[in-house]
Amino acid sequence: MTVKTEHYERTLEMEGWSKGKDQSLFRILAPLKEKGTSTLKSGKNIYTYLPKTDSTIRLTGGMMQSSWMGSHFTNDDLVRESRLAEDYTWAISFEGERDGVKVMEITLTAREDAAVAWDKVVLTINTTDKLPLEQRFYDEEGALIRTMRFSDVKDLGGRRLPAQLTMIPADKPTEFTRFVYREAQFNLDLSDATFSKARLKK
Amino acid sequence: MIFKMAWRNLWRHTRRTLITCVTVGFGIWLAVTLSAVGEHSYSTTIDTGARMGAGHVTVQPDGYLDKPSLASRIDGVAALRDKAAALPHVNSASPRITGQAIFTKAGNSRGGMLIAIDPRYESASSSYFVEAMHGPHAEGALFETPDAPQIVLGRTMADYLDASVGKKLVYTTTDKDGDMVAGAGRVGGIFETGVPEIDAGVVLVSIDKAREVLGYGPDEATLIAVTVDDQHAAQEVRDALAPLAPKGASALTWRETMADLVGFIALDRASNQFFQFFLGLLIAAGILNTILMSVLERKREFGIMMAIGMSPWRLFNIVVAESFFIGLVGLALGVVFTTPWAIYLDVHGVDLSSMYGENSTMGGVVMDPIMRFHMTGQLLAGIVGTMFTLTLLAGVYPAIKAGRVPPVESIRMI
Amino acid sequence: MSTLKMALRNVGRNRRRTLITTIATALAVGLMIVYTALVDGVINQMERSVLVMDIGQVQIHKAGYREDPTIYATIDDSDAILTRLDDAGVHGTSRVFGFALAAAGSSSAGVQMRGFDLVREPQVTEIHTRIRDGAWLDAADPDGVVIGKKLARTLGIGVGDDLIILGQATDGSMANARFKVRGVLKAVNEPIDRAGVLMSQDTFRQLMAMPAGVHEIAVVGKIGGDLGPTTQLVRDAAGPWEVLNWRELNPVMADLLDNSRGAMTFMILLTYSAVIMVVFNAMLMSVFERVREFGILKAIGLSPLRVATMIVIEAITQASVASVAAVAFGLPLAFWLQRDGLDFSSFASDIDFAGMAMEPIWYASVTPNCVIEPLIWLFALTLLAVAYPAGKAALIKPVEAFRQR
Repeated sequence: MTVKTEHYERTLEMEGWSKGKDQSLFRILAPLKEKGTSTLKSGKNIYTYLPKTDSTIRLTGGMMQSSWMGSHFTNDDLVRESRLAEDYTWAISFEGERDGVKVMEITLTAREDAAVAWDKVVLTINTTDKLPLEQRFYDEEGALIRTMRFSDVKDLGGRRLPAQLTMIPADKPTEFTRFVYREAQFNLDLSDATFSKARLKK
Repeated sequence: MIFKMAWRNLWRHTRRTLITCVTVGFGIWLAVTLSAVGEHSYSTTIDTGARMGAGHVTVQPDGYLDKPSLASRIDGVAALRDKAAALPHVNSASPRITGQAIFTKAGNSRGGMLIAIDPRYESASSSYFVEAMHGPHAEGALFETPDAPQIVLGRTMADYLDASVGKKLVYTTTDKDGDMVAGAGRVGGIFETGVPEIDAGVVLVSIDKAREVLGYGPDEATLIAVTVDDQHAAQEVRDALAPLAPKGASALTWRETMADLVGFIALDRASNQFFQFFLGLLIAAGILNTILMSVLERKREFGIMMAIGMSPWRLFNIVVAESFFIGLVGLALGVVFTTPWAIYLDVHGVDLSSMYGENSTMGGVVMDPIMRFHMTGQLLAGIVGTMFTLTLLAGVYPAIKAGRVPPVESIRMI
Repeated sequence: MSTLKMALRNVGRNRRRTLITTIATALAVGLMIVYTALVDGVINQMERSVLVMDIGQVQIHKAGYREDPTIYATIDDSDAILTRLDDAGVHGTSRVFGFALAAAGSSSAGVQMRGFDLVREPQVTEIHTRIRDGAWLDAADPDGVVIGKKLARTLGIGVGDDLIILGQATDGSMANARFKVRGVLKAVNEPIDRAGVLMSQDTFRQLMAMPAGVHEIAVVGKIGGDLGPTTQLVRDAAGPWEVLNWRELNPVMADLLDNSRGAMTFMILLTYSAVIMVVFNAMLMSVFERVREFGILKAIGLSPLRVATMIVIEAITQASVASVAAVAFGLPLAFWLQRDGLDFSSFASDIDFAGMAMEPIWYASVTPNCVIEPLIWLFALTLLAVAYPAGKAALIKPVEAFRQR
């Protein structure tokens, strides 16, 4: 992950596991200063293990809006990203060609009682390879808050997937957070124990 | 006989006696005014505090006072609430869920207090915030049912989150198991109390919605806030409520739930009493002056009386009786001065807001800047008793001197 | 015989009467001296306690920091500014702030970390004296922190317990460290009580990867003096940064203090009304009783003017003697209260009054004013009191005077 902001630029190397929608684990491999830091999402909770103080902290409501590892993703994004189908209603808002690419645009609108940060999410999909191209996040007033771009489609673990995810904040377009996937493996048999607090420390 | 003589002596010097009595009367008036105004101010502050916090009497889980958390709750709330509401002196009994939460809107977030209420059991007399919603600066309206989806919040927080009436807000908090949960609702109303801490930190939601989000049972809540019509009755109501509280919960009065306020009131009362003591000393000095003067002038008279056989003891009694009468008349005058004034204050009040500013908080509670009257029999008895005693005491020294005049000396003094 | 001589002789002649009147007025005025000193002391204390707790008299920030406190909005030439302030004769100190999460056991809370310059801070504020349990920060113990009293309660920790801090450093990495609680504060102000984690500036810089720059410079000149000159002084030293004094920073508090001062002044006036009664009474009596005497004087040829003048001189003489006695009795008492104070702590330990901590011990503040003001009242009241009887005595017909007794 590379993060570029007005104040700093940093690159982290990490590995991650996920099982279903509710369990995921990220561990930092580099730089050395942060090696061993890991974030565990299990159900509705997020835990962070910090090797320097050998402490595991459960994230509270106050932290949900703060950035994860200094990136443009918030802790809330980690919990939230899998719930699009539950929290939003959808409709196809465009189908056709844009810049020579066949795309479909799906507009998701937040359900009335859904406790989500974005009232509207617009997803643009390449209908040829059925892979996402862009995801735009809007607030209640309709202002664009951020954009996520999917690019560099390649073969990852036997599937064709975008290997680069870039999040760009609308108010500071020179900043970004970019995930570059080097390799991936699917259909692993991961036990639930992998996603336990005890295993965070390893 | 002594009293007759004493009375007559006094009125031989009408002007002097009158001035002294007026002084005593004034002292009483001042002391009564200050005390009564103070008492009323305290009562009002306590009442406001009760409406901003958890009532004059609160039924809440044990240990909640030291460590407030949404994991603590009480059961059997509906029945308990009804029983509480039926007790004498009780104005309102309101079940509530309260806890800290984060409120967000599209990336902006702010921490604050989440208070889930049942609007059927809340009114201006139970909640400062509900009263504010009926106030002139409010926008929108408070929700009306216990399961309403709307949210009501303070002006400052609304501005910070850029949330106006109709906009959606998300709140995140930890539920009864300590897990993170979130709820959402549209802003139904915005209040403005003028107190920055409240306008930036209080958000109201409906109690059933909160139960849903937090995973509470339909009859569970954090506490039941009870307000009373006279804050002095708080202890009595608490004692009646205590045996009704469910296991693991207890009934507390505002003295326990608002400790800072207790400290402040105690301090203010102490300083008020100190000031009145000062005043009493001043007046005693004046009375001493008068009586001593009058004794010294009558040295010749006393000398003659003793020469014809009156005992020094009787003379002593006469002078003490004089000061007793001064006290009595002073008291009567005090009543005459104070009563119409008290009635005026009670009905109109004196607006001190130019001195105190529109909204000031003390010990975390908003102060009412209008000076009114609140007297208890106890207080009145205390003041009157003290003034009277001081008057009597002021007469003692001169009385002693009166009895000591050797007859010959005094006759010689012309 | 001159009027003055007669006046003085009269005073001397009726020693007892003079004495009593003098004692009564001396007592009243003496008490007023003590009371005025006490009230002055309390008001000064209130202002002091606001200022020396944390805010100081004047503060410097980068413009916009107060509205949006991001860790990046720093003043970068603080050393130069502080030197200039030293040269100008005031005391300044720098502070750094950051928001983070504090965790202890299973509890956590959002906190504001405050990094202090341990050498300069005690010259500007007295926060280092506000320790309830444990001890203040020490440069030799960089991992020791001091926390606010409400935070201690929320997290359920006390002196000697561990605290983990988790936040975002300036380089985007996760700042985290383990600290030990060195001390817990008494009530300071609401933000610090609720969320304050105090540490040395060096500790903060290391934790948050912030080697330079400060967020705030707090300055104190002479407390109780005029704020204007000090504010200007700081403005001159600060250069391009934003300079505001405490009244501009916290207008609500400024209002509250002004109102308290108003209320206290009102109380003093009320007390003077009692003093009026006493002095008036005493003076009036001492004149009215001597109506017969004045009649005789007039009968033997003294002009009304001389009689009146004589009475006035007597009154002034009495008042002067009373002043001396009042000061002799009141001033030492006031000084004693200035030193030892009136202790109300049995009524309340440490409490939060309108967002500022209140000390339950009242100290008097002895200034020339606390003596001058009551004495002015004394003489004014004395003259007022004798005006009517003096006039009456001067005009009385000798025959009526004899009939009085």
